[in-house]
Amino acid sequence: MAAHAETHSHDSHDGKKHHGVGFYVGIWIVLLGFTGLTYGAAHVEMGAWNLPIALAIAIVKGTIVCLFFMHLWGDTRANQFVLILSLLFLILMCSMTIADVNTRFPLLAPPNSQRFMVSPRGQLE
Amino acid sequence: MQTDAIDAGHAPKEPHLRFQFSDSARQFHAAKFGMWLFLGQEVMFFSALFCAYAYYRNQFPDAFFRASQHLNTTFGLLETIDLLTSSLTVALAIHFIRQGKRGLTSVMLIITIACAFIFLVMHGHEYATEFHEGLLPGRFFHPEAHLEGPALPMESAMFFTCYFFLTVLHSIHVLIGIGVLSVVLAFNMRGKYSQAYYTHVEVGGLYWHLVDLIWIFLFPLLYLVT
Repeated sequence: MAAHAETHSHDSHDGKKHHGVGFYVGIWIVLLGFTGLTYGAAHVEMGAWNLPIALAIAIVKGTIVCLFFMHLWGDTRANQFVLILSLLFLILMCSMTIADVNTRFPLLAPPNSQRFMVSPRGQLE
Repeated sequence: MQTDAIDAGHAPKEPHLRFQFSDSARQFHAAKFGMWLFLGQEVMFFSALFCAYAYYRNQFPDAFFRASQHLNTTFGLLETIDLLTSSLTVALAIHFIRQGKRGLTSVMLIITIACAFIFLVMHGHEYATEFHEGLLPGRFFHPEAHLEGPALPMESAMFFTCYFFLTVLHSIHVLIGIGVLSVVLAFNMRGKYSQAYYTHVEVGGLYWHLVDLIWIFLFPLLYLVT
């Protein structure tokens, strides 16, 4: 029972360290900094690199929000696992879809394929 | 003190403790885990729309770039700052209720709800502009009558389809977040929460952070297409 009590009783006397107001304000300032970075990076011409860089900054920001604002840092493994799993499914869905449409090619008719064309009456000729 | 209550067995039962839980800590973990499961589901809910966005941007990169130029980036930036600030205040609300400071928790929740309303007003203003300019999804896309400058290709309609589905769904989440946080605020002002029991504040806060989290990705993907 005592092991479970740690994460619930958020007092300094339970031996678990808790962040102060300054810590949260610091995180907020870091997030604002990254927002400025996103905005600035979009106005620099980097060709194909613009999108990966914008996404990388967004992922860093999202990770900071999850770890410190949502307290996933030091949270139970179950809670961390749920988020990671749902993100894996998101990546799977998007990457497989894009990989599919980007690797399509028109099907080639095999040699002598006219032999097997279907007549208007639905019979093989 | 709450440490006595958590040490179950001989400790007196707390009023908020449901019969199926042996102690407050387990009840708290169950509630939080339930919320995380819901948030995981929300991520996958949005992933369908992100996937549609990725597909159409991949198909029509130039139409997406030109359509994105018609969004108000300044508004997008201000909305991002607004939501980040609301995320900070909701995190502070949880921080203060952990110390038993109910008054400060209420103040933080009020600021959060105010930020949510500011977001909705700003986005509503953007929608009004887009309606006026004919920048609408699918077959309602008719920019040629109202927009100056070079004409947008018809494929840009797909950008606005993605834009409206993503941002309207996000705004619905903001509305629900306002409802959730208002209930938490009302309970807090009635003195329901304390150092020992603040599950609703924590769980409502998690939901609000998700709203911010989704916007962090929407801002560069919609407003800053290059």
